[in-house]
Amino acid sequence: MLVETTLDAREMAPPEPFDKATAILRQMQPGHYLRMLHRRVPYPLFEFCRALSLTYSVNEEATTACEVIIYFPADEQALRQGGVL
Amino acid sequence: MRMKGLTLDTIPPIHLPFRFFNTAPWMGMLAALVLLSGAERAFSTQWSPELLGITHLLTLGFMTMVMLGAMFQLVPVISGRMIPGGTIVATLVHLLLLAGVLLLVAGFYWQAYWLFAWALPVLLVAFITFLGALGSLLLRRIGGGDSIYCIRFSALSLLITVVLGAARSANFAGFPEPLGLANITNIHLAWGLLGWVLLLVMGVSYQVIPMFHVTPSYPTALARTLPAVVFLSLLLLTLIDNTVVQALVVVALCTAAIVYASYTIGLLNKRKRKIPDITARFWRLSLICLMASTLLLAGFYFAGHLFLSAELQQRAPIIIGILMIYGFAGSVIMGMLQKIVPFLSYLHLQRRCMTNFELLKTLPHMGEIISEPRSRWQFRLHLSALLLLLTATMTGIFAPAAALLMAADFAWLGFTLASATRLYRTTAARVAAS
Repeated sequence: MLVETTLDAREMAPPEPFDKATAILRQMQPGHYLRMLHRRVPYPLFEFCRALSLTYSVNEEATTACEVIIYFPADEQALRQGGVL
Repeated sequence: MRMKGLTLDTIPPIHLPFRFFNTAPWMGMLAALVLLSGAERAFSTQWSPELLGITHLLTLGFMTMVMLGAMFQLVPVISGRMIPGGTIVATLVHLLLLAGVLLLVAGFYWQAYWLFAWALPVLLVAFITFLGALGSLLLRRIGGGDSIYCIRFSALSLLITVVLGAARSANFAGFPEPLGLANITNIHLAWGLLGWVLLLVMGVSYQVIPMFHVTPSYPTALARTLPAVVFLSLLLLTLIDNTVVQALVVVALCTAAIVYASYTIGLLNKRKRKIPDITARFWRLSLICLMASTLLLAGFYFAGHLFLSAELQQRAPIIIGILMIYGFAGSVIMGMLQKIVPFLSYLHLQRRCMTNFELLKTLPHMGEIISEPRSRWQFRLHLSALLLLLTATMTGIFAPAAALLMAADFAWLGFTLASATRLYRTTAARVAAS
């Protein structure tokens, strides 16, 4: 069973989205993933993800917001089956 | 669009933007000293050697210096792609721009136009290097939406400004004006201030106003129409020498600037967090100056001869220039630096903690990197200098006092940025040693 943590950063000013996301990611265990809503693609966060050996998927469908899913590579299959990715 | 597993090193080293940011205030300081040295003549006409020197110290030495430095950092962050050439290109552009500005201003100040033969190639290499690197990125399909769309127009405008400036300075140096354009100086000014500067400010604001001030976003239709109107108007102004077209262009440019400024003020009024924010205050001052300068420009263009005395007619372009350069561009740059420098410092320091996350807790917060009282004093100094510069131009007195306040304004900014840089370096060294 995958556990989701949601972070809605659309109304946060920098560096709050980065601070909150990194705090969550540092505590994250396999089987957990972060769904982050942001107004723009948070490119600087991706480097942090790589340092933690996490992977990410960015959905930029909406013009005013994007959705980032950050997860452990081993959970990718389960996330696909669950329709998260 | 769905992106997965981007493997981009999207943040350039902090020393790239910081070297531009730390140089720029001292160019502004030099402009203040030039004003102090020729206070009695500087505002007599827009063509005085002192004013030409001051104008280029502010537009190239201060504004462009900061804007190029910011582009090296901002474009990768909003588009996810580094400007090609990295440190080598940034170092070359920084040094050549600095040398070129000093040579150009020395040429204006001492009326030693032979110096342009040195300044021109140096500045041309600086801009060709920068625009070549940036252009090779902007020609590709990259992210960044409305901001990158606008920055494309801005970069093209910079190219045209540089070509026109080179043609004009060749003329100063005694060569025939190669482009055969009537009124080349005003067209150069228009491309520089309304093309390069206004369009870049627009493009940057599409990102930073909603991001840093937590406001609604600009509607895409507006964000795309405004730069297109400005750019096409400038093209018409350059290519068609006709009074009716010129009048329509003035109306279109002023309307675009006023719509942009009033819409942005409206967005700032919709900030989700109504906490006091010096950068927002700088933005408002900047946008009010933009509206004032464009309204004055339209008034001067259409009805100046009806109302103004001969002396005021000579001073009106200087007032418009002060509002546009010191009021609009100067304010927004100073305001953004109060926000961007702490943000970048914090971001880069966090990157240095990736091998030891416990150190994150020991990093200085953004408010410690540039403190709010320091920023508040920056705003007071800047507003006072602006008001005194305008008074000095209108009355013909107070120019020395205006120069001193302007020097204080830039010195304050210089020390603030130097302190922030020092704090970054000491913290980075501490993190590295841990």
